[in-house]
Amino acid sequence: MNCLTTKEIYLYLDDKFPGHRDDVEAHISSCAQCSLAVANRRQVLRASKSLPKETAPAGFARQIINFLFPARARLKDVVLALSAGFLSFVFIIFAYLAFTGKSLAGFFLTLSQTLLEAVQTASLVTVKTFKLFAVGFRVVRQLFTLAFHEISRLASFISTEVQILLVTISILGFLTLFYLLRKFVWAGGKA
Amino acid sequence: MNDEKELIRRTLQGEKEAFEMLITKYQNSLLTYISRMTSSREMALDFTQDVFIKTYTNLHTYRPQFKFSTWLFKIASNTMIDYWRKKKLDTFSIDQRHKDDDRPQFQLPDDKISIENKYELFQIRERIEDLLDILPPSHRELFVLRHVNEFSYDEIAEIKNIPVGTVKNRVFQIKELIRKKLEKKL
Repeated sequence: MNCLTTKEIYLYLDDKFPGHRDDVEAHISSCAQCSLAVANRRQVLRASKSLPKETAPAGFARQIINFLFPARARLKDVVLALSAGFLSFVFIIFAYLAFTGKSLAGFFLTLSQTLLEAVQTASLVTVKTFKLFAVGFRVVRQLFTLAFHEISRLASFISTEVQILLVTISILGFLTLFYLLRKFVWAGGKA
Repeated sequence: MNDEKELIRRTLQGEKEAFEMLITKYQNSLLTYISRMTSSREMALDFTQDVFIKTYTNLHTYRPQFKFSTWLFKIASNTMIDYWRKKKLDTFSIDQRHKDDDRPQFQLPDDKISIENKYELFQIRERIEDLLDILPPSHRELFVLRHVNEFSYDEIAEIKNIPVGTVKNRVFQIKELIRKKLEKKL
């Protein structure tokens, strides 16, 4: 038998050599060159197979599952949380009563009086706020009416062409003002 | 194998515990493969998670006539190719035949020293680890699939979607390359 090629050596080491294995082994044991070549490659393969393997951290699979299926609050949990909240509230009230020595009826009377005062105050604030808005609306309406009358009076003295020119200048002025505001104030530019 | 198919069937029916069992079964082998392809453990863990998520979202496309492990590693391999492309690393297809493809493996061996007598197994292993880091990713991948994850040539061919003969030749070449580099370095 001839000496083995490198490909044949790898096939032999993989147990995939097409010929008779006994013949190959007989040749290897009698040929120093092939024996060295096989030993070297076998050693490299052994070292490769013993390369360290990685281990995933504990709970890794659970972490992926939690990512794929985000937890949703169940009705049972919501009811439990609300019950716990209510019971805590009751406990705090009783603790307060025990600490201050007040009766339950007295506590509810004080509570209802406080609530009544709060509602009265809130109503008063609401009414005053509405009155303020009504006054503001009337003032703005009068201002607009006055401006409209004055512009109408002015328009009767000025020709149509000049009116168009004035409107155009106003629009351009407004746009320029808007642009400058955007550039130097909102966009944080330097004036 | 049948257990695995049962787990897949249960996962498709929405049973998350079944998919958790699949993850537990493959997490270490997949993490080992990805760790060899990336530079840090943290990155490998992120990619491993990513591969399992892709596997879950595409599980309805899995065909039971193929092995689940090869299908899973095919997803992992494609994920790695995308990563190398982004990093602009060597991603040439291994079925591209190089003009020297058939040369080294058909020649007679040219061993000059006995690695076995001269060096301990752990020394060779350390050297191989160093060499793996400098191999092009496409070479490293084949070597890891064959010798670390211990896939058969047929399975690697299925994962990489290339002929078995090409896989064998290329793996022989890579092993020979590593052996020659070892001989020089040791």
